[in-house]
Amino acid sequence: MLAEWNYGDAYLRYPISDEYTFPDGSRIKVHNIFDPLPGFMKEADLIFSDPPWNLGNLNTFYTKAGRTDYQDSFEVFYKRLFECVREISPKTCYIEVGKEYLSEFIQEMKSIFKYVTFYNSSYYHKKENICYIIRGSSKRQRLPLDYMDEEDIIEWICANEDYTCIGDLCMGRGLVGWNAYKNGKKFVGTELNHKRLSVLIEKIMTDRS
Amino acid sequence: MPIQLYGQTEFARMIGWKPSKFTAYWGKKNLRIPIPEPYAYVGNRPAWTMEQIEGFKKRLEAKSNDEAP
Repeated sequence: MLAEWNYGDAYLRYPISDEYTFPDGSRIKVHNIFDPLPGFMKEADLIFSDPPWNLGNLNTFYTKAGRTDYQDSFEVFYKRLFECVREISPKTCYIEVGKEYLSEFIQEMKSIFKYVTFYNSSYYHKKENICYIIRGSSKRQRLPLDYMDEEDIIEWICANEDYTCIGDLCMGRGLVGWNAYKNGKKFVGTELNHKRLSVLIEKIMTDRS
Repeated sequence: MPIQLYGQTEFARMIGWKPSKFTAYWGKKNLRIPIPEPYAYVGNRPAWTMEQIEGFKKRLEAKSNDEAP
């Protein structure tokens, strides 16, 4: 396996094989989204998730997690993602997506929330890296998020949205969890790859010590 | 099925209105034929589906037919 898929070997220093609970009660779990949703995810009253954007992208995460049970339908994946959102039933939900499935994601969000807004965004702070962030909520709000980089949007959300616990169904290396932690807020999350979750554990535990 | 969304200017053009007339109408309340709630917002700009626009256009036409002598 490539060294870059070991994420700085944080998993050796802060291993996580199943669940991990932080001192403030925030919880994360190594989890396949097709398995039943962990009960603690329902604590989230706000969601931000950056899921894979298409089938090829989805399967690279399986490869990086050392798995071979590849998916053959992206539709099955995103339907399951929104099923989880429905089950969690947050007040507000943000989902990041590329252009290919923007329309499908907007329609899924609209089937759950009365108000749907999508923001033009970018990633890695490069304007040519175009992506979109879709917000669903029961209340319409005018927010200054259009054309902000996704990393800055996450930072803004964690600092400014009204919430007690933020959830992330595809945590990755835990940018959402890290920003919630910086703002003294609880977070819950799931992620397929234990090595990526270890990065967040190390970052938070190092910061606390 | 991909969804296509249209902004205020396109909405106005499709129903044969000037954008300024549409904007003024959009801001009014208690209208007999209200503009439908936008399907979504792009940033802070409202956006509608073709189905919503065509439905509004039909209601406008039906009203003008009712009022014809």
